[in-house]
Amino acid sequence: MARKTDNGTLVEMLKNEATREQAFKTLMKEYGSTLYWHIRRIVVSHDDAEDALQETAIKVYQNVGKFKGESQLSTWLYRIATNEALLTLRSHTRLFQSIDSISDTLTSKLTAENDVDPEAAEVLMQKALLTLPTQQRIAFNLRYYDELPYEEIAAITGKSEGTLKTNYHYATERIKDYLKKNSL
Amino acid sequence: MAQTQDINKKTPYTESQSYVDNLVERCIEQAIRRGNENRFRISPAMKIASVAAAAAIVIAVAVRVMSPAGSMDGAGENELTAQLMSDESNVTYDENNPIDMVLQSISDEDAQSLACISYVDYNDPDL
Repeated sequence: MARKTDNGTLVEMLKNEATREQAFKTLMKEYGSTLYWHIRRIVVSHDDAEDALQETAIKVYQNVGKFKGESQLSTWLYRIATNEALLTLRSHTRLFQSIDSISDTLTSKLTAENDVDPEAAEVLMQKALLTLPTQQRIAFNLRYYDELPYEEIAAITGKSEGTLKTNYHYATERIKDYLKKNSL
Repeated sequence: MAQTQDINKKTPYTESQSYVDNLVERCIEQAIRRGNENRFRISPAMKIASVAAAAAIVIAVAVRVMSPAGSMDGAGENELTAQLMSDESNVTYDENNPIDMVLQSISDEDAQSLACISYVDYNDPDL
């Protein structure tokens, strides 16, 4: 996985208060777009994605001095972004309601917010993904769209590699079934 | 990190890359601004400590004001008692005076009940 900036140098600059601001700008310019799309695929709504990305940037800047370097910088960023996306989803649920139960709401937002044919292949793909449990959907996105290795996905999600591989297999089967039933 | 907007993995989201780049810029500025603001903010612990100290002072003043020894009524009452005591020392007893004889012979409780019975409200319109 190629990185434009040497990770070690960037981490040192982030820990140094004198260079932190400049290093943070470099970091976000490099990873910001990727984090936005990762968040967007979880929360679906553009407004929610904006808010979650903003919160992610704030948390990264506030806590970057505490980054221990035990994981990759990208892993750490993905973890914060994933948490913020999940918090955003949770803000749309009622007390005791699971975020997995709002897939219908997310599906509605998918077609309402984007000027695309509801029967288009990419729309059906996203609808199929929204039938998955949220954590499974996140893991699938990281593997399928971001092409991250299972090792890194495990570090981001806290799941074991074995579980992730099994879940990915079931997710692809479920998506295929959905697409077949919906004429694809 | 791999490119996310692969042609073969198209998503239905219509935001352009330039829009996303501008969004990222705004997020960067906002995060830095918030981060710099927080450096000069009073910590939550200090806020709690100052509120607790203020509450303790208010409670202490209230207790002092409301306690009998320190209250205005208490001060007034002490003054009245002192006045009464000095008045009492000026009272002379005349053993030939029938009123003084009666008052001297009755108990304090009887005197008090007599005072209640004999009280006349001269403002009473029925009188």
